[in-house]
Amino acid sequence: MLGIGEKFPEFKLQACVSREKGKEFAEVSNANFKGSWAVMFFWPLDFTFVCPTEIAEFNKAHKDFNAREAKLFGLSADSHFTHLAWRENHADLKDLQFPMVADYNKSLTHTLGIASKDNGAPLRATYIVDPDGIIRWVSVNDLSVGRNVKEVVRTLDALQTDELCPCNWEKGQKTLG
Amino acid sequence: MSNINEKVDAFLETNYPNATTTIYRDLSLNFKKVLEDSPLEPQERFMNLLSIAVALENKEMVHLAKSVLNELSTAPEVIQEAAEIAGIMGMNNVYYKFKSFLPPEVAAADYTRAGLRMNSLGKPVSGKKDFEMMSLSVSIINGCPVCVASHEKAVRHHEVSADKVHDLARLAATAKGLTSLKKAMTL
Repeated sequence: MLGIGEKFPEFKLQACVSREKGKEFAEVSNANFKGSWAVMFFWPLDFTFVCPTEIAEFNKAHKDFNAREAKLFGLSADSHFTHLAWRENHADLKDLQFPMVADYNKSLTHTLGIASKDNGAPLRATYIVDPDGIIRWVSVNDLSVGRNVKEVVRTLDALQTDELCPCNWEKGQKTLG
Repeated sequence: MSNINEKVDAFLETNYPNATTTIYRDLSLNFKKVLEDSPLEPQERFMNLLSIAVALENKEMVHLAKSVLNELSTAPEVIQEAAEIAGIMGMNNVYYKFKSFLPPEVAAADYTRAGLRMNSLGKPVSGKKDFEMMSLSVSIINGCPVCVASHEKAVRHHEVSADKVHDLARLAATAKGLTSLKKAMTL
């Protein structure tokens, strides 16, 4: 499994970004979060039980991610059409503020090493990627256990909080130059 | 630059009408000297004046600084950052003063990690040299010893001359003096 300090893999995938007719789909790639913090969270399968509550929680926390200038992406191996159908179908998913990305051929899932040994679906993995594209946090739950989104926000906060002022110069930290 | 000098004069005349005391003359002439005849570039003078004026909560002085910066075609984001530096340095000056009041062993043992976000220091809109200069100016106003020492060092590292740095201190000092003088007239 790809871990801390490694570069988040390159990808270019279709996503469902809205329910608005004619604007449902868009391509999502690393270019969409180049130079920003990003939170990528995977779920195993659309139209199942645990997933919508988690996705809705991430959506509720969207303004917290926004406040920290972190871009949010949800992913599973379903197609972008299935994502759209699920959004239309489920009340909690109607107003999602972030893209539902379709890792349809599971290339990203496999490169990251997060495919379930049971059924090949992506495990509930969450990645925090820094503005240089490096993985700074990864958390993976088995299929049946939902995530604590507050913990993701807390961790992002901690990763972003660093003493950058010159008073720490003496201690050999990197300069602002 | 005559338009800038006119603005400075107008500021003084409006805010200190008919002032003739020696104290007023000392303060106003010192102020004018730094703003009109300094190794600091005009934009440097007024960006620092803006940060200082916000730190001093001096509305008319903020207005003067912004007016001149607009005259100098300074980008709005740069002007905004100059004003907001008083905010981020307000935070850092208070926090690092707290640490500097403690015995060093205690500070190092019990209060190591600041736990304060300061990402704004990492990628300043104004560029690092200017950001450092303004941070120094505000730190001088707020009187944080550690901050003043480390920002002076940082500014000199960015190859800003001692003469320029000295004028930043004079600018902060005269701005403070004039702000208090205004209180003398209005309190």
